Amino acid sequence: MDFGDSHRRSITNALRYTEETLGTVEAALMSQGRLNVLHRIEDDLTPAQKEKICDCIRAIRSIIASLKDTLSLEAHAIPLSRVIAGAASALWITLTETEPKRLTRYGPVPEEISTALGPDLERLIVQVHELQAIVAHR
Amino acid sequence: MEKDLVQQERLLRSRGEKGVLYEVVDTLRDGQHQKILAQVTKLLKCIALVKDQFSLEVEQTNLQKMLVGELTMLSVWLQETKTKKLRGYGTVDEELQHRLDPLLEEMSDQIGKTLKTLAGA
Repeated sequence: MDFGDSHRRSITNALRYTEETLGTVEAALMSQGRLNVLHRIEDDLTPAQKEKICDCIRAIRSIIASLKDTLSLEAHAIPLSRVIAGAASALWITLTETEPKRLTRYGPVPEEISTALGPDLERLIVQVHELQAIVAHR
Repeated sequence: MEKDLVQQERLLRSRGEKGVLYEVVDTLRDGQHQKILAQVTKLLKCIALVKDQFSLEVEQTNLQKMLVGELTMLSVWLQETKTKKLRGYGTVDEELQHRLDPLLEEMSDQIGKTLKTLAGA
């Protein structure tokens, strides 16, 4: 079906976002209360609820597939290396924004916190750089 | 940061991901996966050290609340994609309206059903 580029882009982006959100929901359903370091999701759903949610996800995916065909929408391929490189860059920004000298914008940072946090952050930043180097080394 | 690392770990282990409208294509060489996974593990260990050193609190959330948040946002997003909202980007073809809106409505209904299921938690 032929229609304007801006409409096509807008619809495609919305449906992609929908798919990605469904992926997030599925991943959360499968995590089964996985223990992370700083973030924990308590699994408070029954198996029957999970099954119903999975049925809805399947139904929504099938509607998206139908819209893709009807409106001749294009699928977008992203290399995994780019996804990881992008995430690493975002992590680097997050870490540099946490440096003690930048934390002063929220108020004075006690000297002992600066002294203790600085080296740990530096270690994390070095590891992120290593991650970037591994991805860049093709 | 931890959430992002866990997400990357998932993509690496599944060697990419394929949806209807997007695909994360595994372009990494064989040895790269293991190296990156090892690096992710190191970073997670560093985060654990920082957590212990500064007695940082663990963010606790429950699955029901998290899913309600994600799906509510999605529902709003789908409403914003209906053709009457797309008019902001130019005149909408009538055929597009007939083909798009009913299916978006169907998706919203499915999300509504899921939210009801979640409300029973």
